[in-house]
Amino acid sequence: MANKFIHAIYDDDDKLLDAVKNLKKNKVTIEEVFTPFPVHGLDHVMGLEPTRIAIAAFIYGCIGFTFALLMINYIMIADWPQNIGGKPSFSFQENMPAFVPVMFELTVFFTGHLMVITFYLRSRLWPFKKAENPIPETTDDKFLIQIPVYGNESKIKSILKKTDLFKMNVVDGKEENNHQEINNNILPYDPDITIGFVFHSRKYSDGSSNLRIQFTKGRGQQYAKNSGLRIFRKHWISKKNEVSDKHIDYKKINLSLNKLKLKIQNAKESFSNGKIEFEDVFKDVIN
Amino acid sequence: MGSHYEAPIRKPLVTGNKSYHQISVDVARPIEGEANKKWWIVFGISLTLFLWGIGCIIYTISTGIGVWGLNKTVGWAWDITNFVWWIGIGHAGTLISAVLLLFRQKWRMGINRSAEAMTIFSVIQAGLFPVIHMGRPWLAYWIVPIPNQFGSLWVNFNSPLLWDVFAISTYLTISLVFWWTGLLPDFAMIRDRAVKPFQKKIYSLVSFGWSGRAKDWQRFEEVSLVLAGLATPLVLSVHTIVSFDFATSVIPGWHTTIFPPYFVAGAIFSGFAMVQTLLIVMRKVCNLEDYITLQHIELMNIVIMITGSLVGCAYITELFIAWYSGVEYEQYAFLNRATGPYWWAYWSMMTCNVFSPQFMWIKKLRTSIVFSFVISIVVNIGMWFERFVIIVTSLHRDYLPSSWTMFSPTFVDIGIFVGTIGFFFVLFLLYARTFPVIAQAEVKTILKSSGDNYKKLRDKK
Repeated sequence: MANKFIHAIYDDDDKLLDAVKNLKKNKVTIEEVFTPFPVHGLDHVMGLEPTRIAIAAFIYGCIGFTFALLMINYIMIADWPQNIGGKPSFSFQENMPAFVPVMFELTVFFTGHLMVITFYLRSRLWPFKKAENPIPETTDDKFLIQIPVYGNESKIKSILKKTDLFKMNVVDGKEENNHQEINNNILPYDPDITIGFVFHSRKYSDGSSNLRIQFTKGRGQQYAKNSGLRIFRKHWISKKNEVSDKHIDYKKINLSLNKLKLKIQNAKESFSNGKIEFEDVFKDVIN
Repeated sequence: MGSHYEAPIRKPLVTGNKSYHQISVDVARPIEGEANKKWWIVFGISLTLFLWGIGCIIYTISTGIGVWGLNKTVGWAWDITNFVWWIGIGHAGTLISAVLLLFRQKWRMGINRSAEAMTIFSVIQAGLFPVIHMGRPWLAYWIVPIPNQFGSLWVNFNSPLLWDVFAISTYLTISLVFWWTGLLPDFAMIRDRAVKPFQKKIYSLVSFGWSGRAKDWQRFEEVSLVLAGLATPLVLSVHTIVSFDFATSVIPGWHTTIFPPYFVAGAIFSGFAMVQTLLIVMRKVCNLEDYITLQHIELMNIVIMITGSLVGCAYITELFIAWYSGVEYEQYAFLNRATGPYWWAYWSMMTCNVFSPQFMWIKKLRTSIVFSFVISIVVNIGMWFERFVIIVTSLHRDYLPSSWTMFSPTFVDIGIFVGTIGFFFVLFLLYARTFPVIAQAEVKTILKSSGDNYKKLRDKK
């Protein structure tokens, strides 16, 4: 397996289809394509074999039907035939019409469930399974082609540049499973961090609660730290991020809040200048 | 763009100039946001009703079925009425997701997720009734054909009640996997957007690690198609078998050969009415008017109108056949329904189910949201009365006039029924806050053909 990949990212299904066609024409190996929804005709363009899951489903149906037949015959005819309302209980053939509903239901039951189980196993889907899409946006609105690189990097790049590309990344195989890191590398609109005030959900017995500072980066990372202030929530003005004059000691609290806001501003700046890591931003705000 | 062509005469199914990303944002919003006060109020009411229902169930089980209003003549009443009513409501979900998929109806995509959720939640309510009606629900496993120590004591495969066991359990489980499989890509979308670590963990768990590979999608589509092909005859069989509970008996008013198609039509009718009730509220509360458009509501109203008329035809056929058969018991059963002591139930059923949907012939009415909502409630009530009429009026005048009785429900009957309504709404409200209520992956596939912005773009050319 190649341990270097090119991830060609598109923002439209038609652009993706054109690109895949183009790559195929130039005999570039496509390892995988990740899309947020089924793109009509993609499997055809990629040259994927049609799935045989429907054939499997048919076989499962036959198994279910046979199971129903054998079970009912054993229970109703072989093991303990009973006279139920004078129905012909000693011959399967004659009693069969009454068994049709259950035979039908069991056929459907087996077909449906075994087919879905097959699908989950073949596509490797089960609880606690880790997602393998290289960037999280492929479940939203981005389409990604994963191309293994075997020393032909510049050729692939030149082909890709001719397509209507949204973004291209070169990734090492090692990084591939590191969801978060790649996320941060590729985001073209690498978002600023936001720092805001939130209240701790637990209240003290006097009704006040801890004011916390929440740090958020992109979609994936967030944490909160106590600011050291205890505030009555009902007097909090969220638009201004300060307490109203009904709060006890409101002057003192608003003063410390202003100090915090100043520190937040500075911390944001030193983050965007690359001086500090996201994980360490809080140190600049809270002593 | 050529491959996304759709006739300009078709109305857009996604409005509001959506992009793919905007669809994700809109679908994730109710999950990522906080519940408002109204949600908590409705949830509180539902939960109270549900708890009250549980209380009544506990009372029933600990004391006995005698606490219900049943007597020796009317041995089936509200319990089975509620059972058939809930099962019927469930049918619209499968119809929308499976039958409309086979017919390639794109408008199903805005509503199928919630309709399927409704199916599952209402089948759960339906399943409760036969189980508590057993009186000793801890012996419920006796209805399963398992080898046992009572000698060769097996279940009876000639009995429609056993067919019901197989039909309903197959229906519930197949609907569940159909629903869940469709949910995987949407859960994955929520997972990849999630900011809170706990949310991320939960949605990773339920999305089964869905990554959206080309091969996965190919299988996904094939599996959906085959499941739709299976679910279509399944949904028809389920209500057919439910109707066999009555049709295979020898009670005048019950042993009617028209029951299977008539029950299926009635089930679709009541199911669509319930979908309408739920979605008219949900589209407003969750700001989904761009996905569940007036066009969707109108199309559902047309289905309600057609199935309502089918049900009306069945009522009239029943009356005709009763007269034409020349059997006086049969004739009396129907005469008694319409003019006997339960005439009010019969005529409420007729008014709600046959007359009220006829308003939908008028375009102005079927495109009115308020009117649609009112009619959907009326139909739900009417379909409950239909089952009540079939069950109770056929029983209460027995062959021997000395056994003639009336049925009146006790507070326990009412409590359990109201409790299931509460339970249903508890489940649905939780669903609306935690599940992607629109099949966003599917809606994205029709955006270019049925989105208003793309349609306008094509019209200009």
